[in-house]
Amino acid sequence: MSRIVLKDIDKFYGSNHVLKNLNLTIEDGEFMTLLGPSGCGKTTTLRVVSGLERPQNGFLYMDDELMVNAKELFFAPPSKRGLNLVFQSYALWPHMTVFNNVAFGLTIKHVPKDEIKKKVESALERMQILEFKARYPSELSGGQQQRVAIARAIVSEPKVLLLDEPLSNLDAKLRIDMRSELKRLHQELGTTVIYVTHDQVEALTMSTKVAVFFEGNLVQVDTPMNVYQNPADLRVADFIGNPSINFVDATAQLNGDTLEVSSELGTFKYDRADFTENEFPQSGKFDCVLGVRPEQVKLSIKEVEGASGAIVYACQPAGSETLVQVNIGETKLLIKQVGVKNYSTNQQLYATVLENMVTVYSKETGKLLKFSHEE
Amino acid sequence: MRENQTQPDLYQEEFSMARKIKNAFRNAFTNPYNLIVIVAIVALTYLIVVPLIEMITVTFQATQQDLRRIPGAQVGDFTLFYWNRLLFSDVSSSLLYKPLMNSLGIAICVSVLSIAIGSATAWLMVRSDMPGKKFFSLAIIIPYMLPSWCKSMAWLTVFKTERIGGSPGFLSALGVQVPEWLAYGPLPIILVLTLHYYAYAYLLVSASLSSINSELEEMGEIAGANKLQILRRITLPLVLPAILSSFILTFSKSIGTFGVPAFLGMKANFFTISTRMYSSIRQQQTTTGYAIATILILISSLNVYINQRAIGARKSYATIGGKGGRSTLISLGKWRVLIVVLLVLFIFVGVMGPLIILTVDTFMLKPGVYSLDNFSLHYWSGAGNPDIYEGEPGVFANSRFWQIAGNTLKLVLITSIVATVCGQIIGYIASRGRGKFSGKLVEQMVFIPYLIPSIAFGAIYLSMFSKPQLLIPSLYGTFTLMVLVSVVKHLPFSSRSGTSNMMQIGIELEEAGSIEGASFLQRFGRIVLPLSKNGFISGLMLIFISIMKELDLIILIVTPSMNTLPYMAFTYSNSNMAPYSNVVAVIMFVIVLFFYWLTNKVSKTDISKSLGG
Amino acid sequence: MKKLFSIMLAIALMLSLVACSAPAADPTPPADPTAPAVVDPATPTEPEAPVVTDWATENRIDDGSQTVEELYELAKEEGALAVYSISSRMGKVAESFMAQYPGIVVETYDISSNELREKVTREYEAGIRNADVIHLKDTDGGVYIEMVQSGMLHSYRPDDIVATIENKDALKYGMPLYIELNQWFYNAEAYPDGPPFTSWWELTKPEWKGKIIMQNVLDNINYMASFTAAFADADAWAADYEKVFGEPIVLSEGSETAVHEFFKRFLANEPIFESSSDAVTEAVGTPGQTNPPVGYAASSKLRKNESEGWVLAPINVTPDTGIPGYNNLYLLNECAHPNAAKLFVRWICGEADGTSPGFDPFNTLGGWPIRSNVTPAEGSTPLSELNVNDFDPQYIYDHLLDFNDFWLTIQ
Repeated sequence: MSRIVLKDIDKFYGSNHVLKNLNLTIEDGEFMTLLGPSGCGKTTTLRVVSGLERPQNGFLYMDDELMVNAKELFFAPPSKRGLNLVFQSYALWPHMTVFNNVAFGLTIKHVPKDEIKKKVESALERMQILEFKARYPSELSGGQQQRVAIARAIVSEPKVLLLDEPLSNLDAKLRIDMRSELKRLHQELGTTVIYVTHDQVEALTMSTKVAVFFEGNLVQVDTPMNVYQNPADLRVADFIGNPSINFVDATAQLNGDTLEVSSELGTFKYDRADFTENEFPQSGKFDCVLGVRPEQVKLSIKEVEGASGAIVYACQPAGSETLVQVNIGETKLLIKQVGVKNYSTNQQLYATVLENMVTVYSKETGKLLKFSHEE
Repeated sequence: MRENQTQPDLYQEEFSMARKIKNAFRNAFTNPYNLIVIVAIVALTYLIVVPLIEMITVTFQATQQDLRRIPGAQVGDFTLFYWNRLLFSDVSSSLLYKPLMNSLGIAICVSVLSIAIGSATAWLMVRSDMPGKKFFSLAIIIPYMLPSWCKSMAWLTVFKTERIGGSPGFLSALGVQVPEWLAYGPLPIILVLTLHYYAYAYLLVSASLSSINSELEEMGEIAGANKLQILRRITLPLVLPAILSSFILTFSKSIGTFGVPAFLGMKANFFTISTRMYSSIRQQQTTTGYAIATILILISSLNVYINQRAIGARKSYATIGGKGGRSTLISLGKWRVLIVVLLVLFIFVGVMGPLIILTVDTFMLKPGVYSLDNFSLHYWSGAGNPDIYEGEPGVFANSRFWQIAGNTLKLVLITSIVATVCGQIIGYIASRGRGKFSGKLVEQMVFIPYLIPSIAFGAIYLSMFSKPQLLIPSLYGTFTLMVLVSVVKHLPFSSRSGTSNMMQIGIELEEAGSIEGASFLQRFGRIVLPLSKNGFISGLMLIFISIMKELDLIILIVTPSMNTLPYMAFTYSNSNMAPYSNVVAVIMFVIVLFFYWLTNKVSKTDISKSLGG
Repeated sequence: MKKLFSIMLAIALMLSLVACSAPAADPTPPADPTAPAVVDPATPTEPEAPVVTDWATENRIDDGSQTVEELYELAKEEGALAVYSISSRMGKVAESFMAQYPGIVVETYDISSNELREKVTREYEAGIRNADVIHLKDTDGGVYIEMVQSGMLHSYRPDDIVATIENKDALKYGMPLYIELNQWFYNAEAYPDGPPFTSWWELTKPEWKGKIIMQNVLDNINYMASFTAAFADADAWAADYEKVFGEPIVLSEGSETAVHEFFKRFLANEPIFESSSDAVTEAVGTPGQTNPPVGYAASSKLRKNESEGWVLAPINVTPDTGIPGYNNLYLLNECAHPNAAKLFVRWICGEADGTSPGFDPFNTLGGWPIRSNVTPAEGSTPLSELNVNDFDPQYIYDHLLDFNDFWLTIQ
């Protein structure tokens, strides 16, 4: 069991407050992705967990064991935390061979030689780089170096594996390969993984949970699908999803258990069952924002019932899908359609919004008011 | 491991001050960074700040010898006698103001000349289509590699007159009437120093020039400017910072230099501030010497301060880098041949020629007679002959030479290793402590010896360590003192190379080690050290050479039984035994060139990195 | 850079602190701030007696009665000896000494006068006792006043040798070995008719411009001492001027005495400063020159006529040749080998009968033995025939730095 609990963590660099009262629990065996734009505190969180950074406030527990008590200036050294880390730069020691890089930690722990050999070779085997064991890092490609770095991290069989943007230095194709590789590795080893990335696709495809950070605040912790479908606020909604979500200004009014939302896309009604716990005005009109994912709008050439008229602004076919930018009244919408579509500019189309899947945010607080709901 | 974890699920922690204090102590003392910083700060304070203060304090205290002139004073009493005498008395003029004016005059002339020559050669090498660049790129820097005092001796070998120094120089021997002012005094000092220091301007300006994209110049050509206009209105302003840098660098180097004015000035009664300080200390007017040293340090500091204000940052002694753009060479046209001839002449007449003559002279039994009959190895390996220089044996046959040579090598070896190791450690602090107060403090402290001219630095150490100090016995005349002074004086240099070396080792490489459970020493030994090996070796060799050449720094602290080859040459020259001092000089530059070659071979180090050393 | 500035500021602050914390300067003027430069040379001031240290008493430094046999026995136990000397000839003495007294290894160091004094003082203050015997010339009184009186150096005077020294004045400040002078030399080949000049004043004449060669006074404390002594005889110098130029001297502005005036005019003739007596005498004495300079150098260089084939000849100048340079022998306080040192002093002085080879290297032209039972080198002019000035260490010591400053201002 290796549950990680971060409690009331504060981290400052000088006067720069980079982690603001962070509380996060990572369950055993979870693949937790820390996601956010650069400078949001996700890497700092990882380094606090690893022991390379010392927070000014808060506690850290691993397996219920106290690792950090900032108030008492107690910080367990990294090596006592049963974890390992893959750096963004890989941090392979250029003066050691692949074998020695992987074996380093074991030699520090005075593991017998033959055992080291067995373990290292098995780790290299697992990462499919056994043949390179006598080479130096500079003689390897980026992808191979990445594998060495991972092999080095897993050879000590850590309870927690920390990965700091490990794929950011790879080209697009390799990145997709490594994603599935890492996901498989997580399932095979069963260790807890904390994974830092700014790439939401990585977060959504690999993790069991995603923690979204903005400006030092932890904004949302949820499963990838939930983060995608029900981003906790406008910032998260905007950050997650590619192409990004459409925001449509609307006005809303609560009538008993029904929320009525009006916009250029039409008027939608939602039941209290879909409401979030966030407070919103109980009566009267208020401004809100609709979150409409590009795939949540259907387009048709012929007029259908309940559809709004949409004028094509630009059409970008990309083989498997086509992105269509349309104007509905003053509202601009980006719509994703499967397959190749060839609309001409200014063509008249008809758009149907899957209204239940639309999320509603308070304009004032930016918080989610209404969950997305499958049709 | 905490055992009083009673309610693990709630994660409630009782705050305990006792535990906090215990942890605070443990953190402070188990963090090797803190330990190194503390040791470094204490050591630097003791080796740099305290000696400086000590020397200045001494200038306010009466000495035994001067009791006869300070009525009623006891030894150690506070007195303004020395400063009064130096600044406001009848002797101030010859003690301070005249030598100071000489120094300033020399420094200005040397700077201007060096920049003219250095910039011109830099432009030719970088910008023009001059042939033979490969040859020139080495030939131009050779003068800088040789100790400046060796060059003064070469100068004397050529221009010495019978008037001063007994035996005639090369030209006198050929029957050429050499005027006195060409052999001794300000002119030869300026010329020899220029030959030494133009390399600074050359290196800085050529680095700056090669960072200029020649499209900038081509744009000027399209706009209709001619070559001279382009040079003056586009190129010159762009390299102006580099020129300014080299001006100030050359200025501060030449104002405090000792060797050249000592060889070429003292005999003609021409004093600079550094030679005046030397002779004061040698005449046992040590305190006056210290006061002069204080003024010299003030001037140097002021100079560096102005430099920092004018140019900012540390550009003054770092190569101004920049991305080299595309560069089109400018055709010299019909001037090509003439310029090459002039440059070859400059290098051969100015540098190689004197050295060759000096070497030839060491084989001439009777000085000034150039014939095969006169060829002899006497000064090299002959046994003593009572008829020649009081029976002084040839250098190789002289047991003193071997003892001093051994001493020199020992000193240079130990010092360069110690200085480099310290430099790496300070570099480690500076690079890992970036942004921390401690890192900055150490960096600044290490920089102080750079402000202090070598001879003044020697004076400081003489004053501090010739009597017992806290925990340290008197080091007067010991090997340790020579090591100490050389190490500390070279710290700015070695820690600069240490810092850049350490900066290249990403902190993540170390963090990866600490994640794996490696302790500080294990990380240092197995990761940092092996990775810094190359930088270490090249830094080591450059310091090795720099210390090898050193005369100014140790001149005040050597004793007859504890000295080095440069000092041996200096004393031979002073006791009018030119052939012997020439032999030692030849040996010196063979050694120095050999080590440059070796450094280049081993580490591919750019010679320009030895700037400031 | 701000840091730099703050460092300098810190230094400045520190300086002012030092200045403030120091005791206020004594307001009462000293009894005799600058003693007038005129002292009756006939009555040299009596020096204070040196401190006698416990070590000196224990080791019987004052006892000149020990015999050679007695000392040799004790010295053998010590087995070694270190000698700091201003003469390279000390090496030869060591050789003959070691041959005579096997079992005692002697190391000699040849160090120039200023350096030797600095080295001995610094070492002594540092608690280092490397040297045993020190051979120094005391011309400026500094050795006696700063080193002997304070008990740093001791004089060991063997009774039987002292008995052969008639000049008791020489014994006052140390154990004398021989006397040296600084003399003017000319090239005897170029001037076959004798010295080209006989008075210091002649050197101020235009014909000697650029033809005078010597070491810079500032670099040679012996010259400085000798020249300082001249100020006590200002009247004699004025009289000598009248003899040379046939008219009384007219002092120029700023010149207090005829001696001040002399040095001004002398320097106006642009003497060339060399770095050593060797260089001076080489320039003067090398044969075959058509227009050789005249030079001021140590009298001992006369011996080079023999070794180098030079043609030096000394000049007996008026008003005087300067002060006698007593080459004295000292024992370092608390030295490690006092008995070997005593034995060595005896040996170098020539033992009781003055015939031991220890003194031979010093018995050359230009050096004058002190003892009446030692014959000076062949061809030596008796010291009594030379115009040698008196040696008054206290006067010289008190006025040396004044002369130094005077020289600096006129140079």
